[in-house]
Amino acid sequence: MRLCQTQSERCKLNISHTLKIVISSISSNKTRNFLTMLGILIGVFAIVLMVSIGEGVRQEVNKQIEGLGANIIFVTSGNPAQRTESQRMGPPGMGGFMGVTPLTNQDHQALLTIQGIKVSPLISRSGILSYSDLTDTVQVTGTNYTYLEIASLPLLEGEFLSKTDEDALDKEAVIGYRIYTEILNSDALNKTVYINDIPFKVIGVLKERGISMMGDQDSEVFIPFKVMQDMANNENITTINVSVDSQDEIESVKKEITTVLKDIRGTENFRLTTQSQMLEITGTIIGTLNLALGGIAGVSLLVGGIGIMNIMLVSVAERTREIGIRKAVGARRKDVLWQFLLEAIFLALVGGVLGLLFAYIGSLVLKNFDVPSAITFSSIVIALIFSTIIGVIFGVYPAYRAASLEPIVALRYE
Amino acid sequence: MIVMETKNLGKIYSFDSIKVTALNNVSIQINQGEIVGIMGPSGSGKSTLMNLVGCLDRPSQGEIWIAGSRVDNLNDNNLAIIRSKQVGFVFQNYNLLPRLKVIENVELPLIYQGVPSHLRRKKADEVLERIGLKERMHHKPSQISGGEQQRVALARALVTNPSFILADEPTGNLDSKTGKEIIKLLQDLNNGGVTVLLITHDRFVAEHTARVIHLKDGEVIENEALPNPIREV
Ligand SMILES: Nc1ncnc2c1ncn2[C@@H]1O[C@H](COP(=O)(O)OP(=O)(O)O)[C@@H](O)[C@H]1O
Ligand SMILES: [Mg+2]
Repeated sequence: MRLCQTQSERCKLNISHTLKIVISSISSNKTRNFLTMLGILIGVFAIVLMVSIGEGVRQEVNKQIEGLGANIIFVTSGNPAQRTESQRMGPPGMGGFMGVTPLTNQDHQALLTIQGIKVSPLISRSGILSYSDLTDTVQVTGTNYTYLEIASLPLLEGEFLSKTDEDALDKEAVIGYRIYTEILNSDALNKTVYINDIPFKVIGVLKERGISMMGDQDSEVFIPFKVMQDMANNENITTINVSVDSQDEIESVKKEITTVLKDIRGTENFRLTTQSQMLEITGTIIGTLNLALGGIAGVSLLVGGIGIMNIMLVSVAERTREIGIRKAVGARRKDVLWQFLLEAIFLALVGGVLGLLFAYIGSLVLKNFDVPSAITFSSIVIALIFSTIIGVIFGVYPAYRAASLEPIVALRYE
Repeated sequence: MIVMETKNLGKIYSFDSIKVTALNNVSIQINQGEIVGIMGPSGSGKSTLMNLVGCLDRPSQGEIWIAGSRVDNLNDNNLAIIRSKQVGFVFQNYNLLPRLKVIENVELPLIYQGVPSHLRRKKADEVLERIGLKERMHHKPSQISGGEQQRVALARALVTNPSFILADEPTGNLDSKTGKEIIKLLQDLNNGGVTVLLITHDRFVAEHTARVIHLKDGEVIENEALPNPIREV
């Protein structure tokens, strides 16, 4: 008596039949099943969107940090030993915490004694720029001629600040592209603009550079740093950028800077940051962020999974008689188990795919609002694997209950 | 050849401390190609007997033999395989799956046998043809009459070519005219070689078989041969 076909053939057939049953059972309870999927949908949507925003921000930040140049050391004030990791994360130039001794012209002068490096001071503050009857808030940066090269600024017309520090005392300004087009009506050279009511002559215009993590680079105005200090009535410098010729020299130059500044400032109340450090720090921050977001999304997936389990238990109870009929015509435990397990997996997976879809739409919408986001292949795979696993975990118990029903008990069920 | 045999079969239902003896010491034999009636008043243990010989339930004592093998001591998985290969059920309330079309209901037992889909469709087609419901194959059970549903159930029982068909009050939910059609169908199938166990409380229905086993209070009280069963035309 031949009882069974080959195992694999039987299994394959059952899956195609089971899928048909699953789809018909799910579509016969559309509202209920959609509500159930919603939990998974939201969970996957949250995971994918959050991870892709994290990924987008990381890519954007990295691009900008790399844009700063690989061979730059940022010198800022502050005591590295007293700083916590979270305070260190800020971009260079945020050294103005309470009780911190600022960098001054003295420090700048001292660094100029080191051989083979380029040094440029930076002082940043927002200011009011006006021209004829137009007024706007802009980012005013005091610096000197070396900054053009260190930051690779693209000139549209005119020239950058070009005088040596001793001579650069005239009120000259180099303006960003947006100021050029929107306020000066694309005719700027030798015009006089007012910054905080002080007249400056426009000597140069920069090409369009876009938005960076430090703000709109096209709303930036560069003026000689000593002029800026006169306006502020002090000799403070926010950041000193030091550029070296090659990356190999970074460590030795850092040592030299430390020696020189310690000598002049008495203690090590300053901080040296390099691009690779900044990349490392943003990496850590975004990693932590993703972990936290992942936790939140994990909780919503858990809730979604419980929803699936609930609806599957209801479904098993409702279909007790169906299970009895199937067993009467020859279904084995594992046939019934698979049927209900696949239904749970299917629910979770459809929820997951819908969640992915919404996340994709969400990321397109965010891009419109200039929020960087990038849906990576790995986040898609993770979302699909996760929803399958949720389906299995929360589907196994209801499916087991269905499979364990005694045929005669199930058939008698009213 | 004996297709199905029970030896001293007994079934006791117990809940809490109450025990109900539904079957006691039932020994019957069904031969290949027979049509046998199992008759008795309500509560006499007919359905219990059908559930046991159909491997839907396990006996409290005794043995069941189907197609030469003992089956009462098999595990769940093997019982499922016996149901799949050896037994065809027809229930009083049809027990079709409402979401499946007629043809899909008929194919269902073949799915659990692992029959490839084109063969499934072919066999289900043939059986529906045989019971005269081919033109209804794409309807849902709710779209056809009770008599037609019972014929579909019969087709589902036949499609696997089982060793015997167990029909428990198959006419119980039908008016007498459609009931007679079902009985005639069972007789025709029996003429074609199918072994049929027809379970009923109705003397008139039982008289359509060639032998009637009388049950009372869970015991066989008479084994009556009917030399001239009624023939429906
Ligand atoms: N699941 C059950 N639990 C307890 N008692 C049952 C159960 N099924 C049947 N019985 C009892 O067993 C006896 C036989 O029932 P049954 O086989 O259904 O009789 P019939 O089909 O001849 O009407 C009855 O007394 C009935 O009450
Ligand atoms: Mg009964």
